[in-house]
Amino acid sequence: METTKEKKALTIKGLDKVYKGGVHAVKGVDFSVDEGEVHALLGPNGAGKTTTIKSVLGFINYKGDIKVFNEEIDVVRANVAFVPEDKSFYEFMSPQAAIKVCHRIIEQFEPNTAFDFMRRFNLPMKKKIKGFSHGMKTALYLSLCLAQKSSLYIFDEPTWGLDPIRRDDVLEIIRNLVIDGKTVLYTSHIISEVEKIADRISIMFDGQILFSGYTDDIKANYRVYYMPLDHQLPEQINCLSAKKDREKLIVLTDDKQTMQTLREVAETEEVVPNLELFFQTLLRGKNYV
Amino acid sequence: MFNKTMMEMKFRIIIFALFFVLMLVVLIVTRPVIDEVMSQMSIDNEQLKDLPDFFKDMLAETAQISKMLEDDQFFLLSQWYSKNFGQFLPLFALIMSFTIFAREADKGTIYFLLAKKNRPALFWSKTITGYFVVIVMMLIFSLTAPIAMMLSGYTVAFTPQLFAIIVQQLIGVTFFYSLFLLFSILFNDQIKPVLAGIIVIVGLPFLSLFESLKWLNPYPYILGTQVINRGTFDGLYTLGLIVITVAITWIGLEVFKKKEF
Repeated sequence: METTKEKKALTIKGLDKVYKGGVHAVKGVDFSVDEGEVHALLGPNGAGKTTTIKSVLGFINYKGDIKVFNEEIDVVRANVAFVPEDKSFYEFMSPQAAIKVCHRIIEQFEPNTAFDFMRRFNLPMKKKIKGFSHGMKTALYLSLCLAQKSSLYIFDEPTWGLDPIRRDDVLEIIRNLVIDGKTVLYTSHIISEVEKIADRISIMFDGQILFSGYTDDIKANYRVYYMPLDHQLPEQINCLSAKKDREKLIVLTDDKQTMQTLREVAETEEVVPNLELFFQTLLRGKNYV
Repeated sequence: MFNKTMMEMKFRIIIFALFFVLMLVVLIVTRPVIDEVMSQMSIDNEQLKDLPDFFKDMLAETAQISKMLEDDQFFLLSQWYSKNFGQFLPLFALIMSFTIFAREADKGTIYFLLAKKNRPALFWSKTITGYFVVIVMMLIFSLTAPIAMMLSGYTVAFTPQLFAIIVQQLIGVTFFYSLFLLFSILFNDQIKPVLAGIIVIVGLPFLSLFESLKWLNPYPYILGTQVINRGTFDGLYTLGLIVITVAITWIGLEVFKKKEF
């Protein structure tokens, strides 16, 4: 029998998206999000994160199979809350009017919760959204999203434009969603944020998932090796990535035998990677042969 | 969703309502002036005898029209439904429709709606709200004109001929609305649907220049030309426009269901 932890909030198999004009944004992506976890989709700009999320929500046509709580998105849409990359809301409205509109349009919307979040973010309730800064627009959109009683929350760059204090508040709020039994899919290119709140990460680059796993496993299982630049790696080396910088040859691996081999190379330094180092080494070393 | 769409249309509804009221007031206020001007245009036979034949025909036609315009009912049909109000209906349909989907795509607010609503539900709620506004406003100002003229002391009545024109205008304005709404779905900015709509509004009368394409120009139908001239309701054209309106609405739905945002 499946445990709660193993139930899937989101399953993506073979997701492929080519935009008109031939841009191949996502290339056969597979990954899943377990119920009750914060899953961060990490990657540089143009990696395919937003395209993946747009596919999940049915905003674009795609090839592949996507299931949300084992259903098509249209069946469970009421149970999904979303904050897009572009936090545009109706500029002619005030936050007060926005709450009223959401209350009418969205079935499971709690106006009082929205008011509470907006107060917490110090938003002027009667001012037109047109006059809001980027950070205020983000705070408004987050308030409207968090006031929805949903099981899956999808955030695309949710801290964009926020000051450091509000950003930490938002990260805490997102973390608390999971404590309340919700699931979060979160995209960001700010690694320090992800490290604070994510249970699991998937790293995207050039439309592909390079790595998917638990953040705790990175420190436990992966090592980065800094070696002399003139060292020749064996052709069949089992590593996640390898790259040369100005002074060193850098290798990322989780293979025990490879670790043993690399440790024996003279002047080699072994480092337990944090997420930042893991991410940088993985992405920068991808094209090394 | 109905309330939200109404909020977005509120400003345009007020502007058009004021515009139509102003036009109606001008029409009623200038009614005696037009009467006087037209009566001065009648020329006696002594004056006509030295003029060329084509000019005599033209003056005779003008004299006939001026005679007809003395009748309040004819004045109402020809000057309100066939001219002032009728001519603005396609523009009214364009202004009411072009933002309905295009603005959401242009401003990025479409993601808020698409995240929570299935596309067919979203399409119908927005489309029907727009249809409702256009039809209600059209009916209000169609019916207000004869009432206002009656209250001003003129002899007009709700005749079958008047209702026939109203029905034709209702069908005509919904046809234009459905077409312009399709433009609003097709384009992701607010400029292109307006430009496409203006091209249609300006371009359609040119089709009348070609005998074989005359039927494609719906203006004579919307302005009730046949109803006024012959007293007959154009049933076939009505049926044709209803079928086309339904088809365009269905195409709009299918396009919206597959459109990428």
